[in-house]
Amino acid sequence: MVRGSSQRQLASGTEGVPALALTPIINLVLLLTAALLVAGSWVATSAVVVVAPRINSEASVAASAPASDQAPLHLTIVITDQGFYLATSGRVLSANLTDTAVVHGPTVPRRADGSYDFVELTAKLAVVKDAFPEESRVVISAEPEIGFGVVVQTMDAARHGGDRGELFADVVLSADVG
Amino acid sequence: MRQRRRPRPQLDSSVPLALTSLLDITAIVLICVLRFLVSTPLALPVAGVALPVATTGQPVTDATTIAITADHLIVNDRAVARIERGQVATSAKRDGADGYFITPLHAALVEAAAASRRLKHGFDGAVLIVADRNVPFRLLSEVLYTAGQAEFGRFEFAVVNTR
Repeated sequence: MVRGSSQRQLASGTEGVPALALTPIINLVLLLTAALLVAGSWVATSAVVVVAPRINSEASVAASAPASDQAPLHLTIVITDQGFYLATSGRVLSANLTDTAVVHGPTVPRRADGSYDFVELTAKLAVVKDAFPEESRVVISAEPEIGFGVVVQTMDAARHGGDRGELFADVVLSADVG
Repeated sequence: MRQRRRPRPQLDSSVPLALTSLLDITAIVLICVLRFLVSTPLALPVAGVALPVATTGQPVTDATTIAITADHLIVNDRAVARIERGQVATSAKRDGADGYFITPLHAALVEAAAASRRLKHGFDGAVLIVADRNVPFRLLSEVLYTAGQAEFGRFEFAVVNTR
């Protein structure tokens, strides 16, 4: 005689205990997982850190000065609608990175297509870094209408020189030059 | 002689499907997703903000957040000032149109700093700025100046990391 399922349950001692219905729970959990995956943004976000400019005090000037015998560099990048101006200790650098009292144009002009030349900026900063290897501070300023995206890309270009490694890691933002 | 076709075995409908292991895997995946969403403050970026792009950066920390959208200045999910054509209204500035001090932003940041001091062991002065890539530098300067006046001195800019 063939035994039915109820007879098998009797034999195994599980009479009266209903089987746990897991299928709806799995459905629910799967839907919840899918909903969270869709709702979440998987863009890799991170943070770029800058410090607030300090009021000129003896302590802050001493802290920012390099430990070597070299005079402080006071490297400044000014972003304008024409391109980047580099300046050190109040003197603007020309395109060949020589000091000039008369400004003829940006140190790194914009490209012909109107985009900012961050590669050239990094190359120029690498030359400055070679001359001042102890220096790590750069002040970045911009004209009022320059977009935040350009400012961040400039910080990016000033911090890392690709294969060259770290350039000027301590970025200080200064008020606009308008 | 033609070989007889072997009949396909019939599935025994009385054998229950083993779902426990599948349920375990699904639960683990769900917990991982929830943990990622909780531990990443910027998992859900501010709507209407196109973040700037950078190749460098460090993990986003849990700090007071200032969002600069096209329409509003938002501190910790609360709109504090309106923005029109890239400028804060003159009435919201203490020193007039040319001033840098944004009064409602300062009040909200002072409040946030006080709350941070109460809830955390130490106030580190960190503020996370989530700004659209087209926000003009002048507006950003005003926000930084006002945050500095509210004792925030460490600025973190949220970016999209391309590396």
